[in-house]
Amino acid sequence: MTRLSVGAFYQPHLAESILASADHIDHLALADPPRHDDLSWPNIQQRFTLLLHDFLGQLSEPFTSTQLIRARDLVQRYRSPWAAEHLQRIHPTGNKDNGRPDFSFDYVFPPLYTDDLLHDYVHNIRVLQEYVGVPVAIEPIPTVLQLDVPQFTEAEFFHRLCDESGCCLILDIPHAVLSAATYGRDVRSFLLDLPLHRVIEIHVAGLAFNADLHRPWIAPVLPDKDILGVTDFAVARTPALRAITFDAFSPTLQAETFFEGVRLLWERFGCPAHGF
Amino acid sequence: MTGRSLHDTLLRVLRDSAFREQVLDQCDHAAACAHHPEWHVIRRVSKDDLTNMARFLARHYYTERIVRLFRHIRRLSPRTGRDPRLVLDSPQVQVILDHAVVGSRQTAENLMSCIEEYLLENDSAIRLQLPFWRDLVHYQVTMFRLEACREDQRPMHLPCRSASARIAEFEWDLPAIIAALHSSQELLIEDKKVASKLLISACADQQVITHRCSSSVQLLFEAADGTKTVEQLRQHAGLSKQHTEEMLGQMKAIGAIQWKD
Repeated sequence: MTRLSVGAFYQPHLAESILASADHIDHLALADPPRHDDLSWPNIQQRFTLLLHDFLGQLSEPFTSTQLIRARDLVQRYRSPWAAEHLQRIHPTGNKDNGRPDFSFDYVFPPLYTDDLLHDYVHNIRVLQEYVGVPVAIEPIPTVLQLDVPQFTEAEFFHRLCDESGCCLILDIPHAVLSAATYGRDVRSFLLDLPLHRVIEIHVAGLAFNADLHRPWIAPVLPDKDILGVTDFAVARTPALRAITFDAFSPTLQAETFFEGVRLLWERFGCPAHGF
Repeated sequence: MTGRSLHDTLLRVLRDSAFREQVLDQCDHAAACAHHPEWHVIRRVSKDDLTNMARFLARHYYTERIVRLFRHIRRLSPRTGRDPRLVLDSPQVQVILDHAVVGSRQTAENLMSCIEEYLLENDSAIRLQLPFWRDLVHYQVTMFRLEACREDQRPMHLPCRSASARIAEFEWDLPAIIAALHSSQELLIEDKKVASKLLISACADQQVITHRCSSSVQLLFEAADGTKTVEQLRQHAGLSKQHTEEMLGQMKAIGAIQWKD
């Protein structure tokens, strides 16, 4: 029997309600370190398995010693079984004088799936993994803009990335739905091409129309039946899966949405025994 | 051309509307494309798709900053009816986002004009209820502006006040008011009509930090123009060597002073 841990992203503004519902939440993923004025943090830390999902660094660039120390401190502080990071590229190569980029977006954006970037990602994931002492779990980011240059397919890139770096994967179902739509593919056949045997965590949330992109996009809303259906499909094909997370993270997230999202996953995938 | 160089260029195109125009509109020129093969690839992407993605990224960038840097004003929005986050949905801001250089001082300034106008226009009813309202707006607007100046920081051989730091004066004791707002206790303001002076600075790790500004800190901060040695600053402020070095070190740590000591 699959023993899945069911959880959600920690929302500090809902901390008291989360503690009150602790019997139906196994784990909390942390996108940010706790604020010093978060009075609920000691109880949250004691009560839940915590999954590190902070921004540790852009994996296409070499880590600084400061970044590595911070990553290891967070792993140890949370006692996280793995360290998650996005396969993203949100700032350009740092300038030659000080190594710092001249700007950085703060929203996930995918890299190009080229050979040179694969080499850099593999190298830096190995460095991170060795330093923090737990597996690194990489989450693919949906592709929207397609550039007409020779590249691996997303699936080829992730097979190579997992094989050559030893990393695990986090499969975000809405991300996969969006990428499949961009490539003009059926999402289930798109999923089957990915290295599903390396998936240890699945993220589930909803999609909503985005007025800037003129298409559905990731949103802090509940998953619909199509997303849940794709999730069922993925869960049945990910033998190393250990956790499933309601991935709605927003300072404006309503408590009802948070708990309904967790409840949907708990009813479908939860079991009395915790996964960790 | 490598994947890295192409992706770097793509990120710059998405960040900077003027560069985007240059890449998309001038690439007919054969010499430009010969020098920048990345431009030739990016030009084959739909201009609408690039513009839409750029606006999307810009909107997210500034939403995050408004949520973080205007959190006290947003906390009061049920009482004031004014949430600065809503400004991002206005047609005026849509134009700003479409012409943005994400993270630049100019774009931050353009957005701040809209947000300030929205928060301060016809605010007499709010000020009756929250007499410190204009001070609070001034405080959070200053934080937003300073964060956009972080790109100007350069290590200097002599202590120099940073472009991303400023001393701001307020009619109210803002730290006390903010603490009271945060504690969710009944806000008793009678004893808080006390002038305050704050050193506000944006440091490299994306935090904007505020400290109460003593007269010694003000003397050192204002005198540190990149031309005076620590000893000259010490004499100017009338402090001990140890005290001067400690204060300069603290100001450097929060990004108020640039100094490669």
